[in-house]
Amino acid sequence: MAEFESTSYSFGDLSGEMDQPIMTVCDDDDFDEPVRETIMRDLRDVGHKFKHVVFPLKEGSNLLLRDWDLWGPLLLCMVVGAILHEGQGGPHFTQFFVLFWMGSAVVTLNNKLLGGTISFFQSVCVLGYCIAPLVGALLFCRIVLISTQGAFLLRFALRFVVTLVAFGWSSRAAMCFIGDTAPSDRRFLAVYPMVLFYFIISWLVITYSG
Amino acid sequence: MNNLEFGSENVEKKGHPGVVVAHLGFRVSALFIYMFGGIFSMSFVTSFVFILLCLAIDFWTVKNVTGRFLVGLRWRNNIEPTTGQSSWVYESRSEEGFKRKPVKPNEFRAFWGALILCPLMWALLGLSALFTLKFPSFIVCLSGFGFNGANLYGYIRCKIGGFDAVKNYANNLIGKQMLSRFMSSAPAAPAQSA
Repeated sequence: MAEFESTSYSFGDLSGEMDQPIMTVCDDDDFDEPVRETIMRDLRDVGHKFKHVVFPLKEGSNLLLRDWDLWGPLLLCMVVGAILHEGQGGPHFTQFFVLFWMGSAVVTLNNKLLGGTISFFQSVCVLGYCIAPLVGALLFCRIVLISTQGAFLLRFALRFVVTLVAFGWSSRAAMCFIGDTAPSDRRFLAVYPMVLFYFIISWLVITYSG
Repeated sequence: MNNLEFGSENVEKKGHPGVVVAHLGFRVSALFIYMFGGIFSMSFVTSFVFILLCLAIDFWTVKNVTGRFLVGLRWRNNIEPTTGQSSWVYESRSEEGFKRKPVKPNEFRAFWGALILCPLMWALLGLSALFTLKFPSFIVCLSGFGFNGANLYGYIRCKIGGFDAVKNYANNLIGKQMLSRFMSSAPAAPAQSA
């Protein structure tokens, strides 16, 4: 009990040092909001982000960039990893997991080093959410592979077209959100690794063979 | 006569047992699945997925719920709407807020105990995985340390402040300990010289 009291009083001692802002005192309503509200608010935000990725609009970019979260990327990564893990000759779950997160980190680092004005987590958030069309394509491919037999060329053509469309959709959505944050004379240098990242994932989707 | 007790009517007396269970439950489950997953013949991927889910849910719960309710602290990332600059904000309940909703000592101990011990556990498990050259297990331990350690770092910043403040706090602590040891072990020199 004694040590608890002394640490709470040490707030007063440390707040005298104003060389750097230490912490703020806050009594907002949402500091004490009930748990249910916190959960629902975050769930709604995740849902909105998915919607804005699938139908990218300029107004939606604020939501993804300002209130970033990594739930969407985690969920999508696990879904894709689980599906690809089952496929023959495809990457294991751990391999895809590392590829996804290291790939996002590298693309983000590239953007930042080129002088981009986006923070690390914002960029990983956008890259992760914009994979959603490719995840849709993967699910479509899986359904096609399971439900139809034979007619190899037709199935492949269908999967190829759908994956290509999804690749374009993902890249365009990500460019919509991140493209503006890179300096204009180096846009190509910033956009190329991102497109390459989605290309690699599209490749994994196309080569998935159930 | 009743004025002295007037304020105490507003003091929140009951604790948050559910919140404490949530705080401990997910972190301990993640460690449990890692350490004993093999006994239940879980494949590595299954246990990895479950550990990851537990760690993610625990991260969110500790950051957004248990810190606020148990010890009145919160840390978050703030993005300026106009400039897009991101900054980290560390907040604590005000003094009068703490009078209205005091921190219970048991919950305080449970919160900080789990916050400190779990990353330590992951670090030890990670070192053992590294030295036995089990690289996938090392990745799992690294994720565990990252998720749990991030919350520990955030709440230490909330509680104590920036790097300088942490250094001062540590120096004071060590200084006090050395002083008390010196005092207790000092020979009875004044008595002898007298």
